[in-house]
Amino acid sequence: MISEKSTTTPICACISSLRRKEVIIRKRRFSPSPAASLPYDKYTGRKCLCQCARSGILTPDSGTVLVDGRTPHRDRIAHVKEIGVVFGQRSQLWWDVPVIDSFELLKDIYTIPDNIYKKNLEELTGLLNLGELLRSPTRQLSLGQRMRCEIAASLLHSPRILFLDEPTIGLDAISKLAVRDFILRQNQLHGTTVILTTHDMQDIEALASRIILIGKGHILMDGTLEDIRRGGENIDETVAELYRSYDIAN
Amino acid sequence: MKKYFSFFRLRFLLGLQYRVAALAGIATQFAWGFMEIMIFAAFYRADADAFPMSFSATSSYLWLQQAFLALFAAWMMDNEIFDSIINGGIAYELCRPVDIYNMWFCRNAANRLARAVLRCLPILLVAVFLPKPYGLAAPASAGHFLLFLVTLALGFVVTVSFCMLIYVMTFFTISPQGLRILFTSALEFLAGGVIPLPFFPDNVRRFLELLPFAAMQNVALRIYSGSMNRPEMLKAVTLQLFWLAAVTAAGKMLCRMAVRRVVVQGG
Repeated sequence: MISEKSTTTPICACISSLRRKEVIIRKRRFSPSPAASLPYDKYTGRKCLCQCARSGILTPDSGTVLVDGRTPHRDRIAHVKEIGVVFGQRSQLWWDVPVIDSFELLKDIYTIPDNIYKKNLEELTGLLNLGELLRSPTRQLSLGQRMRCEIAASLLHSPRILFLDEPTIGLDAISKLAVRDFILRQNQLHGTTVILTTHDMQDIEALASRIILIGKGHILMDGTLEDIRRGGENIDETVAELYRSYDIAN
Repeated sequence: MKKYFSFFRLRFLLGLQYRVAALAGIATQFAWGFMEIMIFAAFYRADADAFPMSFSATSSYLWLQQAFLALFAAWMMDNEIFDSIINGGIAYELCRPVDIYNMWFCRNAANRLARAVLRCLPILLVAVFLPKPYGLAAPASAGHFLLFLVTLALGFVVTVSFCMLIYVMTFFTISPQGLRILFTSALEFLAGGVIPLPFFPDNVRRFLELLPFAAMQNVALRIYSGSMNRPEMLKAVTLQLFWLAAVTAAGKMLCRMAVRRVVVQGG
């Protein structure tokens, strides 16, 4: 388990791209940190970073990707066992069956032992207030309810790294707060490293202890919220300003 | 292995939920079955000796075909798989410690099996009680029946394997439309879905019987009524096994190639 104290297992990965098919990778070391965050920028390959790093979905054209010592695209199946993934705009739950059935399937997919599955399910049900949601088919859930279930689904197998891709997109205020609160707690309680990609600056303010800004194949900034704040109170404007200064605003 | 079985089970149970769709399907299959039998009855009345199979054997062929349509119909594909490729939902599946090919194979097999289980019994039951030669006759012998079951299962997995090729090719074409139209119409015709293969001219038939399409419904449905002799059956089963291995290997190879060069659509 990665925590702030153990610095023995660094997570390294940094990718950027010009176009989707041209993935250029520069090796870079991320020391384990509680929550890193990548502001959203459609043209800089944030998506590529995540696709490469989290699951080896994409194969880089050159360079290396290392996540927790493994090369995701070469070692896909071993790698994905250790990570959890939530895509804010897709669903991993089966549409027409009760949520709990999707969970049971994940239990078998990840071969989670009975006792651990039970423990995790109980804990997640409590923290995310899933109670009666588990018995309803996914199609009947609201977006906020579904997102809570999605997050629970991605943590059933106690992953060491959790990739969240716009987890709060389109959520109402209450669900947004609940999701943020839960992510923070998961990070503190279990030391799960969380890689968050988002264009919601409030997410970043609430969660991230480390922020990496990527643009056109380069790391524009790697620092904390304070580093961004130096440019003014409004994070959105500062980020936009940074992108403009590197001439990648469009 | 257990995870693939779980996929199979979940998809199977999900498939069993659509009972009204199954009722509609049964009605369609009865209408279709009766229509085909009437057409063939007219042909047989003109000259029964001109046909390679007896009318009763043809009727059995048609009823079994209607009953097990969901196992073999090429157009009954799993739209969720196409959707996941088109809209990028596949990203989630690539984030799981499972083999994409095996997982989709299980899903597809379960989907077809669930549909067939819901639909086959009423059709078989009614067809058995129809007056001879319009109904489903008894199998040629107990041995034939046993071999019918084996070849039915083999033909089913060959069909699923072949459909897997279409799913995997969608990775390259992005839209499944063209592939589906091309393959489903070719497959239906060449597999004996429109008219049984023995009804084709001899030279054409000899060639068609070597193709993978003949390893699908054709074998089981003909063995049932005993319209294949022993060497023919042996050859047919061997070809089924061969095509199963070949088509699955090709599908797996193509799938590995496709996954290696996945491009994620959308932001």
